[in-house]
Amino acid sequence: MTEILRAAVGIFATLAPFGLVPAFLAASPDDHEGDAARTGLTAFAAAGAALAVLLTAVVLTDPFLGLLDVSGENFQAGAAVIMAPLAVRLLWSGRSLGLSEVATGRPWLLPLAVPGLASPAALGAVVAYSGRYGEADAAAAVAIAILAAGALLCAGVFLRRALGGLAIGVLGRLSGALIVAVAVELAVDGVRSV
Amino acid sequence: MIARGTLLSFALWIVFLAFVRVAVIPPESCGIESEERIAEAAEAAAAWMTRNQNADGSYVYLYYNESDSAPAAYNEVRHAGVTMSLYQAAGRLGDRETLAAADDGLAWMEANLVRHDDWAALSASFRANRPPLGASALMVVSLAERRLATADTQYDGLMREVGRYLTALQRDDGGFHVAWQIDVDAPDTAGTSRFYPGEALWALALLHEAFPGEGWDSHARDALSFITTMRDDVEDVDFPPLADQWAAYGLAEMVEWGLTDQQIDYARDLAGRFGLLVRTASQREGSWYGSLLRGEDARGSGVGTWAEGLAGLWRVAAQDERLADIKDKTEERLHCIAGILTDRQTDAEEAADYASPGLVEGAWFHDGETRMDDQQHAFSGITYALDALAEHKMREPEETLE
Repeated sequence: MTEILRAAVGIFATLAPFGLVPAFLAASPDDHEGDAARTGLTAFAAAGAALAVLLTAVVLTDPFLGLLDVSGENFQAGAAVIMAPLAVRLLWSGRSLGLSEVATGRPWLLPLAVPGLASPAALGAVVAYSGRYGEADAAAAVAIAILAAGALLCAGVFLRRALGGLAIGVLGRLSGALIVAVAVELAVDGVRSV
Repeated sequence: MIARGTLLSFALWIVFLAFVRVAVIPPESCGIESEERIAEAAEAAAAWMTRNQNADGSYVYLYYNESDSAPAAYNEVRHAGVTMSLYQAAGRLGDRETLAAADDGLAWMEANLVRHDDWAALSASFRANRPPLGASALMVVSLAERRLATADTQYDGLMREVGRYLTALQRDDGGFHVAWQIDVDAPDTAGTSRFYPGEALWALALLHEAFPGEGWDSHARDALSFITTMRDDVEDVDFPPLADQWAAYGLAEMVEWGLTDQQIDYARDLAGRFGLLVRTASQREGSWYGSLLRGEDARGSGVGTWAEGLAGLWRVAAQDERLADIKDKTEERLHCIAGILTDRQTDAEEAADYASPGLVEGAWFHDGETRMDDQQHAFSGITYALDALAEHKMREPEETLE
C-alpha cells in the first residue's frame, strides 16, 4: 500500500493539475451557470483519455524498456530528466499549457488529456514507477492520481472563484517544486538501487 | 486543427527526448548470455593463473601484449589473492594441477613469512620490516580456501599463526593498523588502507568458521562494526559506501551468525553501489558512444570485484529475509557483469596473434596490460556469479579433493 501511495503521489505531481487549470478553464468557458455540466464533462473526458494513455504505458513498460535496452533503475534517471522542462515551465509561469494551445477542435483530448495530463513527464513517471513497483501497483497509482487530478479539474471553476487566478498560479508554481522533489527522489533511488 | 504552439511543443519534446535517450539512458548490453560460455571463461582464467606461474611459486605479475614484456614488479597482497583464487578453482573444478599450482604459491608465501612474538606475517623481502595487513589476511583466506577444497588440516597451525597477526593489528574501534613496524616493535599508526579492513574481516570470519569457539568471531564482529559505521569516514570516501567486495564476502560468511539491521542496511547500500557500477558498465558496452558518455572501461580486476561483491551480497540476500527483495535483481546484475567479463576476455583465437599466446589467452587486457589479479578477481567473480544463477547458496565446493 505504501508503494502504491508513493507512486500515486509521484504521478499526481507530474499530472500537475493546478498548472492545467487555466488552460482547462480556457477550453471550457463557464461564464454561465449552464456550462457547469459541460465543464465537468470536459474534465471527465480529459481524465478518462489520460487514464487510458497512462494505463497503456503501464502495460507496455517491460516491452518498452526492453526495446530501449534500458534497465528500470537506469530509466529512473531518464524519467527525472524528462520531468525537468515541465517543472521549469510550472515554476516559471505556474502553467503547464499555454492558453493559445487549447484552440483545437477537441481540447479535452488535445491538449488537455495529451500532453496536458498525460505529458511526457507523467509518462516517464508511470514507466519509472511501473518498473520499480510492478504493473499492478503502478496501475492502481495511476487510477488514484487521475481520479484526484480529474476532481481538481472539475473543481477548477470553483477554485478560480474561491481562490482567484493568482492563488491558482501560486499552486501551479508549487506543483513545479513538487515535480522537482519527485524527480530527485526517482533519480536518487535509481542510483541507489541494485 | 492543432494549434501551432502544440505542434512546436511536440517538436521540442521529440528533440529533448532524443537527447535524453542518447545522453542519459543510452542502451545497455550484457555481453555474452550463455552460462556455459561464462563458465568456460572462468576456466580459461584459472588456466592463465596456473600456466603463468614462475618456478619459485610466484606468478607473472604484469604483462604487456604489444611489447611481449613482463616488467620486474611484484606485490605480495596480490600474490596471496591469486593463490586464494587458485584454491577456489581447484575445489570448484576438482583439478589437481590447479591445486599443485596453488600449493606452489603457498610455498612462496611460507618462504616469505616474517615471524615475531606469537604471530607470522606475509611480507615481500623489500618491505620485510613492515608486513602489510592485507597480504596476511589474504594468506589466511587462501589457507581457508585450501581447507575447504581439500579438507586437509595440515596448515591449521599456520592459519592460526597468521590470523594472530590480524588480531595484533586490530584497534579498539574494530579497525586495523596497516602493518607492524618490526624494528620499533609497534604498529604503524599513521597509515590507513581502504581495503585491508575488509580483507581482514573476511579472514577473521573464515577463521571462526574453521575454528569455532576460539574467539575469532568477536574480532570479526568488531571489524564488521568498524567497516559498516566508520571506515568510509576514516578513509574519506567521496561516495559511500566504498565498493568493497571483501566486506561483501565477510557479510556472506557472517549472515548465518545474525546481522544487525544497520549491517543489513549497509549490505543493501553496498549492493546498490555494485549494481550502479554494473549498470554503468552495461551502458558503456551498449553502444559505440557508450564509452564517450560513461568513461573508459574498468580493468578486469575492477569489474571482477563488482561481480565478487554482488555475489557475496546475493548470498546474504538468499539467507536473510530482510534483503530478499534485492535477490532477483542481484542475480540479473550478476548475469550481466559475468557476460560482460566473458565478452572482454581474450580467447585462444585472438591470443594466437601475439608473440606469447600463453600469456594472452584467458586474460583481460586494459590498454595492452594485464596484471595477475585481473584474472584472479574475474575468475572469482564469474564463479560466484554462476553460483547465484544456479541458486547454489554455499560457497565451498560440493566435494573435496582427496
